[in-house]
Amino acid sequence: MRNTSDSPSDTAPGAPCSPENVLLSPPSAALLRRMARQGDFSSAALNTALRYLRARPDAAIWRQFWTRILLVGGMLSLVAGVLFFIAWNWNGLSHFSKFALLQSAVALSLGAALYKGLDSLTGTLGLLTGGLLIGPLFAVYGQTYQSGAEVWELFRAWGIFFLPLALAGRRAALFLPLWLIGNIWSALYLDFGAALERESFFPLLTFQCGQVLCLVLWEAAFTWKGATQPWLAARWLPRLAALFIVGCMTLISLVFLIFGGSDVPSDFIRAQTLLHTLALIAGWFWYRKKTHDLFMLTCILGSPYLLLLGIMTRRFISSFDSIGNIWVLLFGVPLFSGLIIIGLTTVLVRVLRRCQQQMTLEHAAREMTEQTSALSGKIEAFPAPGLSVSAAARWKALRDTMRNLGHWPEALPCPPPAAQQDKTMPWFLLLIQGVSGWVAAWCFSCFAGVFLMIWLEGVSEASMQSQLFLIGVTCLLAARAISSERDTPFFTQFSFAIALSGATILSLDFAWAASSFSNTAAGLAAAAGMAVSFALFRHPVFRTLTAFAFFLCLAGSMENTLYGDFFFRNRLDDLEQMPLDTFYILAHGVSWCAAVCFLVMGVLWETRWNASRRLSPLAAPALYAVGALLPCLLLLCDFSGRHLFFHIGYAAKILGVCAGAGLFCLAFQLASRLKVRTVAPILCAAALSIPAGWFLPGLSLALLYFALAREVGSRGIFALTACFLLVNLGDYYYSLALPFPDKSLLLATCGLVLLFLGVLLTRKPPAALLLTETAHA
Amino acid sequence: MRNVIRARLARRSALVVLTLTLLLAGFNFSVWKMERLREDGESVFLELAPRDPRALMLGDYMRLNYRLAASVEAAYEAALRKSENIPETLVISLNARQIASFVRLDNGQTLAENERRLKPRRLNSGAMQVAPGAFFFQEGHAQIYEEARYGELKLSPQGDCLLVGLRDENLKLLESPASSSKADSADTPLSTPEEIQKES
Repeated sequence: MRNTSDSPSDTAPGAPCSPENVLLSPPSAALLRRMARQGDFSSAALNTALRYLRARPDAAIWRQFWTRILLVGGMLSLVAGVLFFIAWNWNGLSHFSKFALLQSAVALSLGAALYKGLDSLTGTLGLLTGGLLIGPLFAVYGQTYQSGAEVWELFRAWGIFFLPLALAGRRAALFLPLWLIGNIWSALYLDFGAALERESFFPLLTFQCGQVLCLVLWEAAFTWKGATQPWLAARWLPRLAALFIVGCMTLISLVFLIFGGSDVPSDFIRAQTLLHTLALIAGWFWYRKKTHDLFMLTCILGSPYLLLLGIMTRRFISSFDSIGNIWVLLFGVPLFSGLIIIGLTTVLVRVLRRCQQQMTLEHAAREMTEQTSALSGKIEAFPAPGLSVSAAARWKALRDTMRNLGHWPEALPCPPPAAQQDKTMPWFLLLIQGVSGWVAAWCFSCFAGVFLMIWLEGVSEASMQSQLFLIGVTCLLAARAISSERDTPFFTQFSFAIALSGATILSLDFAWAASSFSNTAAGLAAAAGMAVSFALFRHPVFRTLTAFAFFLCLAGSMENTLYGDFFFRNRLDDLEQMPLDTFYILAHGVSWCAAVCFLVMGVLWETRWNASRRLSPLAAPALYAVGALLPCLLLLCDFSGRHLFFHIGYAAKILGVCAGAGLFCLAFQLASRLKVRTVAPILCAAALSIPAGWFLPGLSLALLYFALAREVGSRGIFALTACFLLVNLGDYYYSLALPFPDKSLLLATCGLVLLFLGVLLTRKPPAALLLTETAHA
Repeated sequence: MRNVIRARLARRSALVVLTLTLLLAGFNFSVWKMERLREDGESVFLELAPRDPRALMLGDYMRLNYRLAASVEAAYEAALRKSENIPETLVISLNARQIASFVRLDNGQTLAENERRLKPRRLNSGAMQVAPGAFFFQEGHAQIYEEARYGELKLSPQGDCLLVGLRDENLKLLESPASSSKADSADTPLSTPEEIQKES
């Protein structure tokens, strides 16, 4: 039995194993930050502890991190450049030359992997490059010999040749592209759209079965060979696959079984119900009893949660609709849906927390039988009831290190009390609570909106605005009172929902009042409404959402000021003729710069504001909001740039340059203690991201976010940044703003520069850096 | 233990080498087969009705719809209704300009002098595709192919076909400037009907 739960919280056998004391976990970055916010640690102590846990990187970790980012990023950029070049389909180069070029590249990549060793980073990169280049090779074949073969045949052949390479490479990272290629192949082959037109549901079932089979194969390999093949222990890939499978199954069941109507054949309904139920039961048994994994259990329980919600919402709609009064329908459905969401989420989170506690107990019991003899001396020297051997040893090592540096407060018990640790919840449970609270809040907002429409009918405009203001403020104050009175998941979400309704009413009221002056004033007023809501209710997710909405309103007002008049007075075709003035560039430059500076400085000073009770509730939501806003706006610029606002393309370029400058500042700040000889090449390399930001804004922003994610030690931000980069690259392919040869040249040049820098980093480190590394060690 | 690890590494390396060998051998064999069809195949023209989007990985292309597709589809549907055996090939006849028209589904009868076999493709979507449904071209050259009225196919005696170019209503080959400058290139398709007839 293997424990792969996110917070392995343990307890000693013999100690009382109540739910309160089993959550004593080993030291983690989240727990230490929480302790710092409660005043247990100073900012310097928090910094020391985070560096000890390697949550904050030192010179050696930075070096390793950038080597990987530069080599992987460079290789992917180069492959993307080749792919774009092939998509260009240049007539000037004969197809035999293209074949020779790509076959040589594949052979060279695989040869380099064999030469450097398949287990090395370079070997894995060689296999990945070779495997990815097989795709463009088949694409050239498809372009040259137009025999009528379909696109799925390309992906099938690609997947067949990629499989042995992934098996030889033995890395989870090599199976990710294989899984993606397989998914694209099956989606194109099964052609769901055409199948549904023919009223054939068989492809949907086949697709789901194939996905389940992939996951079963991986888990079987992990169970049988996991002990001798450590690469199979990587959990991120099966988790990604499970999330995708459960998401697909739930979506299909929701669309066809619950909201599908009578057109869906009964055979399909029976087969889908059977498949879905069997998959969930088998998954629950496996991940609860055999391979402990709380994330998987959350996915599995999330599916019936959504289905139940769908069934109840449909039931409400049909019940209220049968009454025949439209107001009952408009009142009832949002109100009851909101309440159901809150109730179901509370039950879901409680069940999962219970599972976490039970799995922790089982794991701790097993761990004790294995390790008691080996570490018994340490336990005697460091008695901690309710704490497992390994966790106790880690707490002891952390306390001793910090005591030597004079950072561990004498009054602080070690380990910290269970009550303090009880709040540490896995990120996905926090996310579920946040999202469901958000959805419930919008249901309540709809209910409140309908209620207000009836109540305020016939009232004068001024009176209506003042009444709305009072209602908004009352909602926020009531939410604040409820959350401070009862600190349970139900009341937290309930108050969160009411607060968000209040914030929406308040912002709309402000915007309505100011709309008589101008659109810009309305945007600013809505932002002010969000700021008031931010101040009135203290909930981290709520504050992040309001801060996001606040910055969004500000950005909207600014865009409206800059060219709103031109947009409203001209036809869509004339927008490309819009004059580009210095003020526009200056305004965007200043605002993007301010946002990037805020982000970089916020991350650099994280330990300072995290240790401050006054700053922490303000800085964290604002930082997350700005962090989420920049990629969202960049994607918006990319998607709408060529259709609506011509100048938004320039806005993206300016943002890219600012992100590059931010990366430079971050490097400057982190490397400032090193010698000039060491700092100069680091800064030169970082400075390259500034011109890169003009041509490839997405890449520059992603590099900045990767660095920030490593600085704060967040894998979530890292994964989200990778997703952003993928979406950005996909949009870049289909964008018509720049021709393929230019895109290809940019990506290939960028890839070569990144690879060059990565190779430089893999060479012998400079003496100054070695000294710093030694000092850190 | 070290020997075991070495042996495993050697097996994995052999797997990579084998994959590369199979890939290159299989790929180049297919290229050779296609080149033979391209050189030895007979030129046939099919009338079409085009439009152009962008494909995943393959770049810009023109989606082709052939005029004879409707008659072929009708013939297949009629055969299905009569529960007859569905043949793999169909028969087309060529006029003096080598333009094809549908005659019948291939029932094994001897072909007339101007008749040829053509092997259509049943797509996953269920539709019958008589010839390649897309023509890939260099980005930015869409305007050159707006005049396209015929698709030029190279046809093997067994009925396999390869789309090699598009032609206008006078059967003049539509080419991008870069391609037309390579007049002496071996794979340049014939450009006038007289040349095509001579070749046939």
